[in-house]
Amino acid sequence: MPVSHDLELSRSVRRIFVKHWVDLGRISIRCTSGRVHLFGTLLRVTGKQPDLQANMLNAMFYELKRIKGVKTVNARLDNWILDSGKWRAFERHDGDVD
Amino acid sequence: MIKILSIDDEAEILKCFNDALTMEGYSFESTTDPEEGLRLLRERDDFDLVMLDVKMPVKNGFEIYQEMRTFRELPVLFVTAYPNSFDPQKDDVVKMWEEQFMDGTTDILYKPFELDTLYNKVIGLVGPADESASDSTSEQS
Repeated sequence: MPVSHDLELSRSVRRIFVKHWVDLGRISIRCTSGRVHLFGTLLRVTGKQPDLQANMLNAMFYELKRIKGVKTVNARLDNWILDSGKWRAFERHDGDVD
Repeated sequence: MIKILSIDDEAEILKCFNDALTMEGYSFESTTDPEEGLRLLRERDDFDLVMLDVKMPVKNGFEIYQEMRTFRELPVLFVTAYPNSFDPQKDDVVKMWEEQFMDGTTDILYKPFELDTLYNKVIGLVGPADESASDSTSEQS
């Protein structure tokens, strides 16, 4: 899949994060061949209330998966974990293993 | 070759960016003078990405961004040590965020940063310096 397609996917992911006031500086986005990889900390920008809630993450990830051309969305986040299909706030500690 | 322009008042961080990005195969130019940066952007059309320090004396990164957007739309990576730079209580930040950032061509890099984070931000905005680099790094994520 061409790099331009991955760039367009990255752009679409950022659009969704901007819409939800996600702090772009705390999360990294990599799109390769239609696979979206997210890693870092998923927070709203400092001072934006309310803080992210599980239902907001559900909505956000639903939007991410609906982006045209997205095959999978993989998230390795420092503060949220998908637990039995539900997002749960989580604090990663050194030594934790996925 | 992908060409990056960085405008930052700290010469040391410009050297760091230069070393890191040229090593990856990007072409990198920089200036500590915002007016010089704007002049380069006006006179040349070969830049693919602009890296803007948010907090600078005389003219800050947001002002440069607004001025640049009157004549050129390029992906922008804001660089700042202050996570509260994007204060949603400030009307100008809200306007910029909700109107201009919504096009998805803007990202943020917080200092201090790891090189992998810098590379991910740059690749996400303009792609790898060459496609083979993308193939070789994709497994690391």
